[in-house]
Amino acid sequence: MNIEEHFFPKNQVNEEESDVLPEEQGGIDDFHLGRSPEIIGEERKAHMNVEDLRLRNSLDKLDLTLGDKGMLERIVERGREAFDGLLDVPAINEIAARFGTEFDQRLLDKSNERIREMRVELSLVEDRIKLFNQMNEAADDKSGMADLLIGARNEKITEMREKSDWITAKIKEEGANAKIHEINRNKYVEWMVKRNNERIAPLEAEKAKHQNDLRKFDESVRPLVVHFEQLKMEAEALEKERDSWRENAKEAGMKKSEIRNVVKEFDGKINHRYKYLDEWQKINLQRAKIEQKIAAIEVNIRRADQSNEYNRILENKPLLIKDDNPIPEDANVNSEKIKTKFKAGDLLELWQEHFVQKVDKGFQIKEAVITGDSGRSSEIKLNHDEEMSIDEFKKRLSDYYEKRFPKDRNGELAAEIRMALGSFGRDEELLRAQLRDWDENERGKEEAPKLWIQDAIISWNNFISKRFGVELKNNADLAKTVILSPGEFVGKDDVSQEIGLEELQTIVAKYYQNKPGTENQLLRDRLLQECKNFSEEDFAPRS
Amino acid sequence: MEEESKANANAGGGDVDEKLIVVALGAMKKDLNEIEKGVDQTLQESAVAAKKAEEERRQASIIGNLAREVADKES
Repeated sequence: MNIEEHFFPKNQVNEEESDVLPEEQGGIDDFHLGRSPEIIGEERKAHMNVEDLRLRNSLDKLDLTLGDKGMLERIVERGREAFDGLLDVPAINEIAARFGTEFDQRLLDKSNERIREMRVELSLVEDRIKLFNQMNEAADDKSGMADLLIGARNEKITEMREKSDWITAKIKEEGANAKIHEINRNKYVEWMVKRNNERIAPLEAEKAKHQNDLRKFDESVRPLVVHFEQLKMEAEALEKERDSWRENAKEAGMKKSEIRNVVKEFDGKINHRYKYLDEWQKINLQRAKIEQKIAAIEVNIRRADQSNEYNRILENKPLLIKDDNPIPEDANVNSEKIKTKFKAGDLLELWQEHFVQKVDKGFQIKEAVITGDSGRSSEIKLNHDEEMSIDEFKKRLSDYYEKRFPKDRNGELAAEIRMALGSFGRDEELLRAQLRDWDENERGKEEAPKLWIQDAIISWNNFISKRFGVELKNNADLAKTVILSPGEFVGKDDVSQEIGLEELQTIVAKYYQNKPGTENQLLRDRLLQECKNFSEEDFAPRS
Repeated sequence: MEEESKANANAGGGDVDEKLIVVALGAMKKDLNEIEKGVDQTLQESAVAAKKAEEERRQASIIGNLAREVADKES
C-alpha cells in the first residue's frame, strides 16, 4: 500500500465507482467530468497533495519545513481515519505516531485545563450555596427584614444550583472529550512502544546470548586455571633454583662458561613456561575487552530504548521527549576513563546488585555481601558519604575479600569475586545512569500529596466546621472564618495551582493574621492553633 | 602453534600436562574469537539503533511543536 492510498483512501477519492487513482483514469479533468465544482475543487486539491507527496520519496528526506507543516495540517483536516492509516506506511509512520501523540496530548491538556477551571468555578458556587444555607440556618429571627433576606438568599441559592448543574454537565462533557483524546494519544504511544520493543528485543537477546557465551567460556576455562597457576609456580621455582645454583657455582669456583651453559638450560625451561603464561595473559585480556564491548552494547541499548519516555506519557507524567537530559555520545570502548568520584554508599549499593547478578548462586553469597547501616559499613571501614573513584572502591573491596575469603581456602568463591570485581564499574556512564534511575524512583516515592487549591480550601473548611461544630453557626465572627474563594485566599491568578499540607498551613495562618473578623485575639489564636492541628488525615479532597 | 609448542615441550620438558595446555589455549582462542565476532556485530547494530533513537528524540521536539500548533488551531 503506498502513501497516497493511506493519505486519501480510494473510497474518499472516488466514492461512487472508481477504485483507481484519478491520473490512472486518463487525467484529472476527465476524471472529474460530471462532478460538481466543489467536489472537483476538493479532489483537485487532494490530487495536488498526492503530487506534492510523490515528489518526496520518504519523510526521512523531509526537514519539516513550512511545506511539511502545511501537509501535516492537511492530513489532520482530512480526518483521523486517513491519518491513522499512516501508521502502516514505512518511514512516515514514526513521524505520524509522534505527531498524533503530541496532537492529542495537547488537546487532552487543554481539556484538563478547562475542567480545572470549571471545577474552581463550581467550587466557588457550591461554597456560596453552603454559606447562604449556613446564614439562613443561623438567622434567629425569622420575621421582618430577616425573612426578606432569607427569601432573597433562597432565590440566589436556586439560581446558583442551576449554574452548578450546568457546570457539572459541562465538566462531564469535557471529561468525555478528555477521555477520547487520551484513548487516541495512547493508541499512538502504544504503537511506538510496540515499535520500540521490536527494535530493542533482538538486541537484548543478542546481548544475553553473548553474556551466556562468555559465561560458558568461563566455566570451560575454570578447571584450567589450576594448570596455569602451576606453570607460574614452576617458572618461579626454576628462577629461584637457577639463581641459587648460580651463586653456589660461583662460590665453588666453577668456570664461567660452564655456569653460562647450565643457566642457559634453566632459562630455556623458564622461558618455555612464560611463553604459555603470556598466551594465557593474552586470552584474559581479550576476554576483558569482550566484556567491555558487551557493556558498551548495554549502554547503546539504553540509549536506543525509548520505552521510559513512552511510559511516562501513558502515566500522564511530563513528557521527556524534548530530551532535557541528553544521553552522552557513543559508548566508546577505548575511550579514556574519567576518574569520577562517587559516593561510597552509592557504589556499595551498586556493587551488591552487581555481585548478586555475577556471582554463582551456588555460593553462600549472603556471607559475602557487605552490609552496612547508619551510613557506615564497618566490615570494610567505609563511610557511605565518602567520595571515591571506582578504582579506589574496588581496591578497598578487593583487600577486604582477600582477607575474608583467602584463595587457598575459598578458591572458587575468591575467583568468582575477583571476576565480578573486574567487571564492576567498567562503564562509568552506566553507573551514573543507574544512579539517576534510583534518584528518580526515590523522588517519586518522597513526593508529598498535593491538592488543587479549591480542594485544599474545602478540606480546611471541613476541618474547622468539624472542630467548631454548632458554634460556627451561632458565632458570627467564627462564621466569617470560612474561606469563601480561592481567589480571596491566594490571589486571583494562582487559583489553579496545587499545594501541599505545609503550604496550606502557612497560607491559612498568614490569611487569618489579616482577615477582617479575626481581630479578636482569642479567636485568632484559636484558629492558629487549629491550623497546627490540621493534619495529613484532614488534608483530603472533599468528602 | 601446536607444532611449535610440541617442539618447545620437547626442548624444555616439565611437570604440567603441556599437550593439554597447548590444546586448551588453541580452543580458548578460537572460542573467544568467535564470541568477539558476534559481539562486534551486535555492538555495531546497537550503535545504529542508539543513533536512530537520538535522531528521533531530536525530531520529536520539532514534530511536537508542530503538532501543538496544529492542535491549538483545532481547539
